[in-house]
Amino acid sequence: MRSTRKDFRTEFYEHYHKEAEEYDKEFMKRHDEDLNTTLIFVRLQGDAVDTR
Amino acid sequence: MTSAFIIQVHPQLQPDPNEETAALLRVLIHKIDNTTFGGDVPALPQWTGPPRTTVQVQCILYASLTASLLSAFLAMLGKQWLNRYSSVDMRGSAIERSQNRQRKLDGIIAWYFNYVLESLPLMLQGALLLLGCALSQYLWEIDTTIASVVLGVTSFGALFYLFIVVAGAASDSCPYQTPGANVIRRFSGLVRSAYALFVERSGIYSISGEYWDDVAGNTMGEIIFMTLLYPFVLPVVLVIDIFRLGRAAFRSLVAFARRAISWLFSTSPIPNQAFDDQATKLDLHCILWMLQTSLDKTINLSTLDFLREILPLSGLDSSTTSAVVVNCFNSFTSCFVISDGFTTMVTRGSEQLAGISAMCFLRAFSYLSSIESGSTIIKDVRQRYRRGFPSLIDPQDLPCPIVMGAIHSLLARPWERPHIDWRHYNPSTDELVPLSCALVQAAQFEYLRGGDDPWVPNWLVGFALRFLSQDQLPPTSVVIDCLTMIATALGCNVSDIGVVPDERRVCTSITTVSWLIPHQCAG
Repeated sequence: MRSTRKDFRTEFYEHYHKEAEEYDKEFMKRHDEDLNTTLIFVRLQGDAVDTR
Repeated sequence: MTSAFIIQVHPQLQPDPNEETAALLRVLIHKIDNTTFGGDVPALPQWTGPPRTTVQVQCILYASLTASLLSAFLAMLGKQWLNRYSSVDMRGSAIERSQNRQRKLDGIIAWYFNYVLESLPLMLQGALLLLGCALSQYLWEIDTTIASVVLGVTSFGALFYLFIVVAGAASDSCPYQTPGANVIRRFSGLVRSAYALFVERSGIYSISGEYWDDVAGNTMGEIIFMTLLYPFVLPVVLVIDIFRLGRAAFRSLVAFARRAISWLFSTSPIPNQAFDDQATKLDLHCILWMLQTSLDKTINLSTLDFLREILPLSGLDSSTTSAVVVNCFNSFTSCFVISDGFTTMVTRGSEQLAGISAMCFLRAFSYLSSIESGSTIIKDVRQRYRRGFPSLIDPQDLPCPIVMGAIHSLLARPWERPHIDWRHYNPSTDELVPLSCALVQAAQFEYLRGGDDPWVPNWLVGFALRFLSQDQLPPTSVVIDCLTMIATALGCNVSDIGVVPDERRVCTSITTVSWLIPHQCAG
């Protein structure tokens, strides 16, 4: 018994959802860390503003 | 740190009140007892504005400060963008969510999101460099020795960064990668092609080359003559070159303006695409992403299964199609092993994947060749195929003989084409419909490729004849495809076959039949 087109679609998107979640988590983590580094660096420069 | 330094330098921008007080005291003392300062008569100092260096230093410092603040602002925005990307709409089915997410991801690629985020630190690095410059200039006025320390460290840092950028651009595997290296690598191809164009077109280049050739191989008198002539010829050629460059720039500007105007005033800016087409397009984008990302065999299998089932590939732009072609080709070739240069074997456990990926590749390849026959991807894939696969294969040994035979016929050199016997081929409808869809586009492509003497190869016509001569006719779409194929072989103009709606294709088929009947009678 062959599956119909609908089945292929749902099966594919189940896989897709799983894969996308993993990929996005990694993507977010990478960029978030990059931005945090930038912000820390800026704070180093900006600390003096507060101590003024 | 920058701002602390600014506070330090800032008072020098205003007249120093202490100095004025001291001067006034001096005047007072002089009035009381004018022998205190000897012969000198103290005067009130005139404020002539801040010193030049202080102004320069302050300019650089403020530039540094604002740059770092701006980058902090952008980093904050970046965090918000990231959060917006990750917050996928929580309503809807898995399919809707996935498609939503794919749309966002496509946007991220189209708008160069990664590059923008990666080049944010560039601004901070610039701010740091500016701080170093300002510091060394300020200290130079006070004491050269201290300034030289700061200057040394700053220039060492700048040189080191420059070296890193160059090294990163020169070698992909260099771990010290920076966004600057990325930019250089992207532009180096452009520079190289510009240089090639310069060599090809420029008068200056050819004149200089000729001169040096003459110096190498001629008599003294000719060399002296050439050398005397050279300064006169050179300016003329330079003027001609500049004129050509200006003309080319002007032409491209005009072409750009014309395109922009036609885009602005185009009567139908939004193509009237059906909802179904849009959905299929998104499906295909999702499939492409999965093919590029996933390494898992079962996931690949399900992806390709779905790709094969999507019937009209129409409406897909050529860059996406090219990517689909390349990815299908990759998973197709990964299923095969060529032992001792002749025998093609399927790796164990990949039989199913081989069949499905072959079909998907065939469909995507013929679609690409129908929408963009001169594509470099087609040439590239063909070359890779000829290098990877033996020139003579026997499709009968492989799991999907017909599809493999078709692929080999399309990609191998003309004299290596295998004989495809359609007589004993009885596929299921699931296989036949996509196959005929692919073959009709392939027939079109082969016909156009023929140049002055166009013809459709016999194996394609054989397919059409085989399924039209069946007692029980195949599905309507297959019949239409077969008739269109015959129409192409007969030289009817069906050039826009990939995009015509079904009604027009039926018309084509009717034309074919009506063309055939009188000829058959005559025959």
